[in-house]
Amino acid sequence: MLGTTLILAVREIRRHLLRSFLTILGIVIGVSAVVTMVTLGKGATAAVQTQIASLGSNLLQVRPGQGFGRGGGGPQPPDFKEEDVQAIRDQIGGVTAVAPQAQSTGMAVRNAANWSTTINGTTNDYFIAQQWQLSTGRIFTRAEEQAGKAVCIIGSTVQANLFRREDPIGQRFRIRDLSCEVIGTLATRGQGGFGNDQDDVVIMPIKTVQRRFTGNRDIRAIMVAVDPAYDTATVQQSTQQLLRERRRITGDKEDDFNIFDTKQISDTLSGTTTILTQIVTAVAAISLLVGGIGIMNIMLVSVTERTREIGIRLAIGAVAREVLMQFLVEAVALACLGGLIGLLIGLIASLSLAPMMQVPFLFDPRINLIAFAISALIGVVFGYFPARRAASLNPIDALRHE
Amino acid sequence: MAADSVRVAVSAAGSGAPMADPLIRLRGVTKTFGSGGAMFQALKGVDLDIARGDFVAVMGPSGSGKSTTMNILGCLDVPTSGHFLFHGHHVEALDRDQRALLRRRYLGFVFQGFNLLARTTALENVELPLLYRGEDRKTRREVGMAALEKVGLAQWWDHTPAELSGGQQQRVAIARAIVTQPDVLLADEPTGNLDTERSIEIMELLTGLNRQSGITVLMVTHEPDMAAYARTVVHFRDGLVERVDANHYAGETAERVG
Repeated sequence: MLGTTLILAVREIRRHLLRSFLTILGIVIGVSAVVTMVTLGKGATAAVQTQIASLGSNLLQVRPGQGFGRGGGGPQPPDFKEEDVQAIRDQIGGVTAVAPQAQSTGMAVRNAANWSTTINGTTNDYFIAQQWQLSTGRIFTRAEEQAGKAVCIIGSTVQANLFRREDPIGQRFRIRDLSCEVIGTLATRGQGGFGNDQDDVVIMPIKTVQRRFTGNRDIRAIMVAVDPAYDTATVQQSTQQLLRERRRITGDKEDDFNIFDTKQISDTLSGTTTILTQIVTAVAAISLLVGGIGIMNIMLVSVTERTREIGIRLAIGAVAREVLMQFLVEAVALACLGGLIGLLIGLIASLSLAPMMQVPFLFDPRINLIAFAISALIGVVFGYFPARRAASLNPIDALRHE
Repeated sequence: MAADSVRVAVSAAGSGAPMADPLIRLRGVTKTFGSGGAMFQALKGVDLDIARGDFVAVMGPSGSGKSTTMNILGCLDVPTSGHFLFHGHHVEALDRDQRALLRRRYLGFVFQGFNLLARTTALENVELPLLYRGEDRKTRREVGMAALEKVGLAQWWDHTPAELSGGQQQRVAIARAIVTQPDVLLADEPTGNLDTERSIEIMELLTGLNRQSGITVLMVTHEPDMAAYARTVVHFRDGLVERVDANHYAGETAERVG
């Protein structure tokens, strides 16, 4: 019975190709919009999460000042000292690495090549905290760290600009007025969480940077890696307590430093993409609703137009349920067809838009299934009313129609 | 002659001796349309028996109640009061779907306006009743082609109504009506839209089906020429059966014209 009805429905759709196409246009647009948006949204979320992960996981960033950067107005809160780093390392439990950072910028020059880059003074703990592997060479020796030797480990962007395809290990280049030896190269990381190029960096022992570039013993930031077995929030609290004591902040005075959990950034950013996806999905859902009303419209017109046909079918011996099923199946078949075309367009659109938006294409079978199921459901819901009207026609009146 | 009189077993109520249950029996059938001031009584107590295998022409002026009677006989409508016995079923007590199943099983319809599905081939049109009977594709095709063969249109099977003449369309409609081998064929002015030559073709086709397949034919017509093909002519007037004529020369008439 269903097979027969399906044959009838397909015949009817084929007989009115243009009208059928116009009928399903709303659903096509709705489904393709939903699929494209959710697929791209998922890609964007994944991209953001990769970038966040590249900041390091279970990582606390300790900086002077309130919030990001240094707060405006008032005396600038002091930077950290070597002793603060040592105190965190000694007194806070569950810490796997504590990496102080002193930053500067400078022009790196080698032969005819020159490249302006970031100089990051730190310790070997930095590589642990960042979970950043070297691709060639070695990390600093204890002696190099303590003496502030002119050695460096370079990021792949710097390597590419200064050395092209040469092996940089053991070679020297000049940065500002310091000639330094390359002892290692970093694995490529790509774009950071804020669109910055993480590979555009020269890493040196912190003593070297302090002595040769910043001219003081200040530490701009401390990176604290937390043992995954420990609760990051607890470690954050005890670090805060420790630093308040060390910086003599008493009572209910506010901190003059901030401790940032990278997970917070991750949550904030993925929250943003989720909200965006939800908004676009809501818009697409409205378009699906409009599409459904379009189907109902056309089906109602179709019932009126085919009153005589319905009369013939009833006279021949179709029972009401069969006429209802015919129109319902027709509506559902139309809606499903619209859904399928929508899926196809959505797939093509997200495949071609993903590279343009620099997000990965992630095929999500779930959203495709859901979108298709919803279009079928729209067919049932909006097809039922016209179908019931067709089924309730009186055969005599229907035959006399027109 | 005795055999003839049994076959022409139509009697107005009260006249003639009771016989074996006829195929169709109407008793005191009334039909009222509308209500209050706009109320109109189309049938005022119709009694009619039609025997299996008969060829009946229904005649009468407009508003005489013949179309209403045909609708009731076609199980498309129910009487307001009275009884309609068909095949042992009290049709007046059946619901919509039960009547639809009765039509599907025992009835075939031919209309004045042909009423074929547009943009649908002759064969698909003829197959339609088989579709509702749940026949498979192969059976539909075979039986459908056989029916088209009977009306002499087998070679036109893949033509749509727009590509067929009026006479051909009506023959497709007849093929559709007989494809399920119904007991009764109801024809509502089947020649009303056709010229004389095509009308004669259609009437011969109906006569042949009635004789060879034993299908009971009920036909509404305005034209005495067409009624002449019938063995029984029922005259309606003012919502009542006025008289029933037996036409003993029906067969000969057909032969003479053919």
